[in-house]
Amino acid sequence: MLEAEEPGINATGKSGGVIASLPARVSPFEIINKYGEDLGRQLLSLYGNSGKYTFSLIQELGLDCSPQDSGFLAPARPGKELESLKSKSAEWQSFGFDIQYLDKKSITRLSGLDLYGGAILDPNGGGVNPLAFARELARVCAEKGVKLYTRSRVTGFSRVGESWRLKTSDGQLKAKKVILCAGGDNRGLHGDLEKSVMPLNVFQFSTEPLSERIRETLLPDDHSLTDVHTDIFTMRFDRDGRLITACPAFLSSNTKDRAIYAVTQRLKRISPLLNSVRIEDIWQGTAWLGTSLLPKFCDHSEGLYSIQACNGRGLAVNTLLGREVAQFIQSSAYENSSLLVSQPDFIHPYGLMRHAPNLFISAVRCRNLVIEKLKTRIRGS
Amino acid sequence: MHVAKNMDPEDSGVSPLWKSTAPPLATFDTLKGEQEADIAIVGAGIAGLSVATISASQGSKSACWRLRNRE
Ligand SMILES: Cc1cc2nc3c(=O)[nH]c(=O)nc-3n(C[C@H](O)[C@H](O)[C@H](O)COP(=O)(O)OP(=O)(O)OC[C@H]3O[C@@H](n4cnc5c(N)ncnc54)[C@H](O)[C@@H]3O)c2cc1C
Repeated sequence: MLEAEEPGINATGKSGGVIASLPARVSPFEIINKYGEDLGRQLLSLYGNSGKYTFSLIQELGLDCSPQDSGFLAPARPGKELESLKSKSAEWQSFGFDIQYLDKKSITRLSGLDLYGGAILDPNGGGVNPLAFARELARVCAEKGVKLYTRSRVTGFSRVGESWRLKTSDGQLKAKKVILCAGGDNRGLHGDLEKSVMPLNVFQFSTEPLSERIRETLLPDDHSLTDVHTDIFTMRFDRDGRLITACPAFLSSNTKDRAIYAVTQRLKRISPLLNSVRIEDIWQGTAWLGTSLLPKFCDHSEGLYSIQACNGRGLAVNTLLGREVAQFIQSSAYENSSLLVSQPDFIHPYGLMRHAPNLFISAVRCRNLVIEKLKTRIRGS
Repeated sequence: MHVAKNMDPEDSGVSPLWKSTAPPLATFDTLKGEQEADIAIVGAGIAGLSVATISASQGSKSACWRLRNRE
């Protein structure tokens, strides 16, 4: 295994650590309609079982990564989104998954926010320290005899005879099979993947550890929460009671200082309890989105494969996809494998579309801010 | 020949929060010289690490995971 820097250094270690067994936008019926009964059901089970699998792997291997398997909430504000939440949760239930719909009273209590009209509860979700998760898996790999090389960036590879030769600055690795798992950097490794994903630039923030009083009200049962709106709001507590939230980089808040200002204002609007909390840490990462927003395992022939980034919610689903890929590679027979093998997405025109995710969210946020300002003015007058 | 392109030089470092609350990183070697393996995984994010962990756990097959140093 060749790692450019160190385990977990990129999207994994920069993520918010939310574990959710639901895809961000797509509904079960949409998945079945698009991929058909067989493949569609495989994708559903990949998602639907991913939270439970992730926590059971952490427990089985004894990984020291602060797992919180308290559940995941996907709430919506009152309005048309609520109907779609209700039908989504009924769809998941009809496929046998443990997904519940919560009414306004329940979500108000479980979030501690007077914002939402209903929510989906995924009891198998929660959160982890994602960098610790990666480091601990790296430790277990080494103990099991996997040879993991760090600071060994693959600079290129080619087919020589019956095998692949991967080059790093100081060495060369010969292998029969290659699996590209470089996240967004897969684009730089293979031509077919270059235009397969669009970047979404995201700031993550953590506050100082918050008081017992705040914690008794906000997420009192320690759920993770990410709402379903385009101008997404997300929050969870780490093991020490720091609130972790995120904001896609916005045209007017693309520097750290501005981002901190914007998120502080936002937290104030979300809850009076968050009026004066201090942001302790801020970091930035790029989430990669495919047009399908679904995980992909691609076969580039001659024993070359890739696991593609898919959306901003890849921790749990990539953990389970990794197991499926490992089993597939070992059996190396398509017939014996239940794994979805698909083509990478192709995004066109890429030069333009690569800006779409951040621009789209920025536009929606602008509109929401204007509406909110107008409302306060009307209330004020 | 696939030549890797550096796609995002401007991306910032890992989360200071997760770093301060994670167990320390074990030490690993850098690839030197010519090595050989059955399967090469490129990238130790959650996807690559999960593939590697499960492959290594699959009983006798994990033996083929031990790389042979050809030097
Ligand atoms: C800010 C942010 C917040 C997020 N929050 C969440 C969340 O709360 N919950 C959730 O489920 N998902 C979240 N995501 C998405 C999630 O982080 C990703 O889907 C997931 O971590 C992707 O894992 P990966 O292994 O595919 O990629 P990565 O973690 O990016 O791993 C790729 C690895 O490959 C290495 N690499 C790259 N190029 C080479 C090369 N040429 N040679 C060798 N190695 C190379 C990199 O150094 C890196 O370690 C978030 C993403 C971001 C950016």
